[in-house]
This record gives sequence, structure tokens and C-alpha cells, in this order.
Amino acid sequence: MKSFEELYQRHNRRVYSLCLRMTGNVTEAEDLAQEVFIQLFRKIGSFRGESAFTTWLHRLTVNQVLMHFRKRGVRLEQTTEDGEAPIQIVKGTENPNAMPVVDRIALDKAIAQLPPGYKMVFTLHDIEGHEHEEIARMLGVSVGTSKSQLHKARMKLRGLLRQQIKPK
Amino acid sequence: MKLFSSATRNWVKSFSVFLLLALTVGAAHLASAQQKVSRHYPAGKNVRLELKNIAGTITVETWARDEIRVTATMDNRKVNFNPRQTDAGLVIDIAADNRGKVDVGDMNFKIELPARSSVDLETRSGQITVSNIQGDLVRAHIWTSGDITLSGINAARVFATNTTGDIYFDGEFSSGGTYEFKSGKGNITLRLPANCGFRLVATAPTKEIKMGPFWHPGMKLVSEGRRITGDVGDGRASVTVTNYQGTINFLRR
Amino acid sequence: MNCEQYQELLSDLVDGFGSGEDRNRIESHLSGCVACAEVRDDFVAIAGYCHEHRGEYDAVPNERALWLRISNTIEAENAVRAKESVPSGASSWFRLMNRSWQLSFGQLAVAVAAIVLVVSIATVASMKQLYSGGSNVRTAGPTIGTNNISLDDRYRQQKQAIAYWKDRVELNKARWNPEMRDTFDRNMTVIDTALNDSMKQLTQNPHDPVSEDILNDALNDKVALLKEFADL
Repeated sequence: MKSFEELYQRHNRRVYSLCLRMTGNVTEAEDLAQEVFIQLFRKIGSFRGESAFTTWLHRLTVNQVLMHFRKRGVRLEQTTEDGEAPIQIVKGTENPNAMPVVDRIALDKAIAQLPPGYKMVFTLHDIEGHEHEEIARMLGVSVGTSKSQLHKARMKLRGLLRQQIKPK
Repeated sequence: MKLFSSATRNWVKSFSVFLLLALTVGAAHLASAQQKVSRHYPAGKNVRLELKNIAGTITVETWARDEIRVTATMDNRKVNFNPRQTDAGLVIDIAADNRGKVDVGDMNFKIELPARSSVDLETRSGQITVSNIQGDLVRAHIWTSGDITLSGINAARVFATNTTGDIYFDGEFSSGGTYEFKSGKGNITLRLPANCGFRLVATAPTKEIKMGPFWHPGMKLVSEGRRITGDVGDGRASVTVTNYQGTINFLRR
Repeated sequence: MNCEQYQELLSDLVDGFGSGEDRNRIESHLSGCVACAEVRDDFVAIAGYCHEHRGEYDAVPNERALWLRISNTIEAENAVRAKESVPSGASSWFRLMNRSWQLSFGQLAVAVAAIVLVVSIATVASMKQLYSGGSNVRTAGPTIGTNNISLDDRYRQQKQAIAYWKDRVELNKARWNPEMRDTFDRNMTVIDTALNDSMKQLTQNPHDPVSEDILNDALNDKVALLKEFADL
């Protein structure tokens, strides 16, 4: 148990951060991180060292989050419909200048507001640095879907970030 | 005889006009701040509706069409509302759709569906009203405050629970069915046909249990009458009623 | 191609994908279209920021508490597994109980005599104790004691769960609107009143089945309500 605690100490932030970014909810992220480490304890015997341990743990975490979304009935393609989550920028109110400096708090806040499908692809691609092929494999979708979700996620984020700095 | 001077009357008149204007503007503002969404879904004969709300009223009624109409009125226009069609029917989970959102506000639902449906309704606060359901299940759960009114119900399983608020049931108990009513603080009233049969465990530790016409000497009083157990009629349905701080009242239709 | 279609190709451009021809086409559009150029700049800023800060992680709100939750779950699972695996572990007691015995008549007679002797000594000793200190035995009231302990244990266990969920609720409570806070507190008071009433009844009458049921119900209700609101 001592060595497992060391593993936890070394990797808990990484696991928790990924869960947090993919869910956008602190409590949910904590519960998922707990489940990931319990799964890790159960499955650590099956780690064959074919990939780096961090990659293996990363995959375990993503799978856990995806399973959680599936249980909640969230589909990757699911987006909020226009008019029902009107986080849109009214024409003419856009900031004419270039994007202000992106900061961590603003970005985290904006990511949390993304629909689940966008959030997953954006987190995996832009934050975690996965290629579209890997994401498509992980999520069981086509590369095209992954690309299109990323584009939509960035567009939505852009709107959200601009809205956050819009003068009141 | 004049009770008021003309100056006073003029002042009252002007004030009334101002008040009327303010109320109209206020009402118009309120109406424009709310958003109303209405959706239709096809429904089979034994459809199941699952709704988990955060706050607001839920009203379920039946109609003679093979479809479900969901009308939602929301205070907050940014609320996510993503009903999901499943093999069994329709699932609306406002709590999950808006996880992490700080203030979702009230969301009032009016749902119309076929009579032979099952409904599973839950909210953190607000009223729940269900009428004329004849399906397998009626479940109404309010985590905190709100009244539950179930009328014209004929379902094999009925569960109505809240923490604060009245629970009113008007319907029938089917043979072999299970019925549970539980409140923390509020009155529970069950209005039943004279010929109904059920096995009862009714517990009200601080207030009265009024069995009305369903009382008979064969019933057992437990703990100085804070619990009543016994069979009514053929005793084939199982009925459990618990009220921590309120009365339990049986009425005959 | 309109601006919307150009913008759809921008993600690929920012990520360094797309054919040379596509890139040239987009670049020439961007040089004349301020709106699309702004979108490109924003995408570059977002993706660039994420790239720069890759590997920075958020801290778990309470690292130690999370570890305790994990280790408790794992230990509980291990305990269950250990219990289930006793037969395959073949402990000495298990082997002793499961082996077949073949005794001669003499061995059997000695064994029976030994059992009779042990039982007789035990019976005499317990009779002596009963007659010498009978009143003590009766006042010890094993039924009442056992009952109280189990109820207390149950209460203590639930109290631990309540404390855990209460902490989580308190963490989020400041974010709720005042109406929600008020509703939650009022309803928690209703459950607490039921809990206190039943506890009071049980101190007067430890066998009261109604109070026992209400105590259990109210404890479960309290945990469930806290759990439901812990996520809010």
C-alpha cells in the first residue's frame, strides 16, 4: 500500500486535472479521480510496460471519464441547441481588437461551459496534446468528427472568452 | 357627503394609474425574461417518463394522443435542456445537464402523455402534480419543500416522498401493488374507494393517524398509537405511510 | 467559398495541417478579411496558450482526504476478497475441519471421555458463578446492552458519513443562492428534529420500535439529502 500511495502522490494532480477539464465540475472530478486510482490498483498487474506508465494511466483516466459520460447518456455529438443556451455574441458587440491575453482562470471557466462533446475533444487535443487519430480511436468516432468538434469547441471558446472580457 | 377632498382624490387617482403602469411594466419584463420551450415526442402505449428537475413545478397530465408534449418555462435562459429519448421513453435530467452551473433558477414543466404511462419525477424543490396516470409506476420525490398531489391514479407502484409539504393521493390500490408515502413535515391525505384492500403500516410519531371509515377493531396500535398496522379489506396491496411531524388522514371517496 | 467555410479550415491551418494549396487559398483570404483573420488570431492564442501550459496541473482540493477515500475502498475490497478466498488459502483450521478422520475404538473412547470431562467442568463452573453472583448477571441485561450498542454503532457509522457529506456541502454552499440555502437549512432542521425526537424517545424506552425505525429512516434521509446537495 505504501508504494501505491507513492504512485498516488506522483500522479494524483495529473489524473484530477484531466477529470476536471473533461467534466468541468470539482466534485465529479474528485469522484472520478478516486475511481481511476481504485481501477489502477485493480489493474496495475496488467500493465505490461509496452507504453509509458503515464500514457497507460492517461488512457485509464480517459476511459473512466468516457464511461461516466456514457452512464449519464452524454453523446459526443450532443451539443446545446441554439436559442436554448444562448452563449452567442450579438453582432456588433464583438471586441474589434485581437483576443486579449488568454489567462488560466478565464480559459478554465470557458472550458467548463463547453458542451460535453466539445469539452472532451478540446481537452484531449489542445490541452493534453493528442492527435486526432488517437482521439478518434479513444472516443470511437471518425477523425473528421474529432476535427469538426475541435473547430466548434474553439469557436465557442472564442465567443465565451470574448464575452468574459466584454465591458459591462 | 364628501369623505375626501378633491386634492386627495386626484392624488389617489394618479397613484392608482402609476401603480397600474408599474405592475404592467413589471409583468411584461417578467414575461420577457422567461423562456418557454415546447417539444413533442412520439410515445408508445407503456411509455416511461423520467424527469429530474432542480427547482420549479412539475405538472403531469394525460391526453388521448400517442405522444408526449413537454412544455418547459425557465427563468434562466442559459439553462441546458436536453431531453433524451430512450427505448423505454423519455429522460429529462436538468440536474445532470446543468452540472456545475451556479444558479439554474426555477424551471416549470407541464407534461402531457398517454394515460398508460409510468412517471418517475424528482426535484430538489417545488410542487409535483400528477393526474389520471394508469400505468405501472408513479414516483414523485421532492428532496426538500413542495406539495405532492396525485389524483385519479391507478398504478401498481406509487411512491410519494418529500421533506416538507403536504402529500395528497386520490386513487386506487391494485391487488399486489406497493404504495409508499412519506413526509418529514406536512399532512398526508389518502382518498380511497370504500372497497379497496390493503395491508397497512402507518407511522406518525408526533401527530394523529386518522383512519376514518377504514378503522376496524382488528387493527393493531403500536407504541401508544404512534403506529397502526393491520389489513383493510382483502389486504392484497402493501401500503406504508410515514410522517415524522404531521398527520396521516384516510378519507373515503 | 464564404467566410464560414474558410473558418472551418482555420483549425487545420493553426494545427499545421492542410495542403499547400489550401494554405495559400486561406492565407490570401485572410489578408483581405479582418473577421476571419481575427478568428485565426484567436485560435492561435487559445491553442498557443494551451500548448505553453501543457503539463501544468490543478491541485486536488484535499489531496489527503481523497487518498483516505481511495485507500479505505481498496482495503475494504481486500478484506472482502481475503474472506472469500479462505477455502483456497487452506488455513490450518480449514484443513483440520475438512480432513477425514479414521480412529481406532480405543482412540474414540478416550476422545469421548475427554469431551464429557470438559463439558462437566464447564457446567459446574458456570452453575457456581450463577448462584454466587446471580443479581449481577441479571442487572447486566445482555439484551438491552447489545441492542444499545448496535444502535449506537449504527448511529456512529452514519455520523461519520454525515460529517463527510456535510463537509462537501459546506464547501459548495457559499455558491448557492440565499433561497436555496434557506430551503436546505429548513429541511435539514425537519430531519434533525425527527432524529432528536426519536433519540429522546429511545433514552426513555430503548425498545420502542417506532422510534428505532424513525431514527434509522431519518439518518438515511439526512445522508441522502446531504449527498444530493453535495454536488450542487
